[in-house]
Amino acid sequence: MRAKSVTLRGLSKSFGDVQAVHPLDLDVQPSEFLTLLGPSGCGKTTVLRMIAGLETATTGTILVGDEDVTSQPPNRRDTSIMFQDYALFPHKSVRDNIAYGLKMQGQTAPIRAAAAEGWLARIGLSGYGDRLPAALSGGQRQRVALARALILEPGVLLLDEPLGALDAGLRRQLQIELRRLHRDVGLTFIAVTHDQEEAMTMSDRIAVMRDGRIEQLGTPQDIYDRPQTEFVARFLGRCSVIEGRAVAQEGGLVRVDTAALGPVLAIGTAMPGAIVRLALRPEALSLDDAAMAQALVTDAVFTGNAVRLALMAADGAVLELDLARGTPVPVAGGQVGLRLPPGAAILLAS
Amino acid sequence: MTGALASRALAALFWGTVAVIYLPIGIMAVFSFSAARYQILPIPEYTTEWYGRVFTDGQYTAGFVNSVLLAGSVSLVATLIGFACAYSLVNARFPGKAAFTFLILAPLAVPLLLVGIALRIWTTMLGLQPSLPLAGVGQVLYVLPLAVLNLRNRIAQLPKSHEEAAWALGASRLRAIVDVILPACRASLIATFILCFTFAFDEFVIAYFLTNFSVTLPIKIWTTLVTGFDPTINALGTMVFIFSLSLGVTAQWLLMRKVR
Repeated sequence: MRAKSVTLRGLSKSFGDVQAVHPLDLDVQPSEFLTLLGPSGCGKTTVLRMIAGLETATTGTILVGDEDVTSQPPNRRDTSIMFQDYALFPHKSVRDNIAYGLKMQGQTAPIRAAAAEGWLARIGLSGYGDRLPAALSGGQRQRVALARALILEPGVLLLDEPLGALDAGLRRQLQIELRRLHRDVGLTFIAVTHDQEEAMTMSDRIAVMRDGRIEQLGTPQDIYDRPQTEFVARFLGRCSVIEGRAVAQEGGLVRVDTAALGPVLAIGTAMPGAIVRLALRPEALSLDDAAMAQALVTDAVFTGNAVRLALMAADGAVLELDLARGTPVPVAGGQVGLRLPPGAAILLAS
Repeated sequence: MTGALASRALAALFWGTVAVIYLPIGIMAVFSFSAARYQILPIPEYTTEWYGRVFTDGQYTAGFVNSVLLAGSVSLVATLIGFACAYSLVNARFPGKAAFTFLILAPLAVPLLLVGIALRIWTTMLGLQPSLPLAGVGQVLYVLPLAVLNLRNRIAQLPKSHEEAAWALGASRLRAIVDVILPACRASLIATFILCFTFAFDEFVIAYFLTNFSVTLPIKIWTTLVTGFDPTINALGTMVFIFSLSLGVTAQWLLMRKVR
């Protein structure tokens, strides 16, 4: 098994007075696709660069497999990195770019050429080996950079905004391709992105980062369905947040009295009497004329596969609701009844 | 109308400057074809005799060979050291970097005469005999700032990720420099070499203070002028001017050329 685990213990980084990464622990399983997701400046790229050995850790240790690589230079680590700008060597042919790692290993020219041809075929660029990177399109360069990083079958592949330099349509297609490639090669992938859709599509697990800390770690579904903080809830998809008072625990759910929607059964646990915040995904709410909770329709926006209603609850809270196509759209300014099934609201950590 | 006037004034200033720089050289070039021993007008008769004399006089050719060898070695050494300095100035973070940069670039600002005298005094104190190699060491000091400035600009333009990609693929620091940085700097390296060459080739003061018997071309020209005018100098000067100018233009062209 080539794939290696990555273990971070108390890893931190400061640049002068700025603490870019606070001490954090993270366990990446072999063959896992883990994404560090967060806004720019959250420290995700610094973590990736420390794993690659391109930044030195201020504190903490980095294990790749069982080996402590914390003080190893990048060329001695069983990791490979793909950069957002691909960093293809402009004066080397596509073939020489792909085979560069093998050359550093001291492989003979015939072996290098054969391996490069194999990868060129695999990424659908047979016959492009003699070209210079400048003669390729953005998507082709991205694939060449991937092949170059993967030819050594590194225990861990690090991807810094792998699709960040591409336009939206191509990006969606390549998310799937990257996911498939990960399955095919079976190596450990750690990616960095600020695009939540990209993270959700590609990853086995996502670590949401904020201000140099991991805010939440889990599967895409976990993180979408059970965000622990308002930041995570808002970063992954749209949501509305309302306040209320916890009344009682009922099984796995907690009954919360809200001014906006009346009594609500939310996922989570809270001490009775505590003031809590609830996150509502736009798809959690539905229209129901018979419902007690009433809201004012302030706007209706067509988003392609749905109509998004902007609503104002009785207490002034702003809510969003996705209406499936074909459903009659209420007029702006009218009152509607709202239904919230038990467990559709998520209790946030305060 | 004032705009047109201003641009006309600018054009006049430009051509005036060009004239001040190139007119004396042009006059020298004209007289190099005059058969008269002195620079008189009108030119009595045209000849290429002086050009022939440059090549038959062994001292000029020896001086030329000395100058080319000296300037060649000086530029080679300065380009190599300059590359190393430039690379570390761009990449390294160390205390006193600003002071280090200043020390490397300072010789640009010091009058050459002082540099020459200082070097002479210092080498004499060390007990070193004046010689061509010694002058070479002095001239490296003189052209090194040019090399560092040129190459630092180029290296600073290169994306850091290229080098980092090479490291991640198993290249050592040195290997990455050879495989990634040097090819990207090729045109700049050649241009830097040529630029240093033209400066070292024309350099007089340091060479004068640090050599004894093996004379460079500028020193030969100077001694000839001191001992009495010889029209051969006009021919020689014209040739040296064309030689240096073409080198300089080549270097500029290489530096200005759009590099991928």
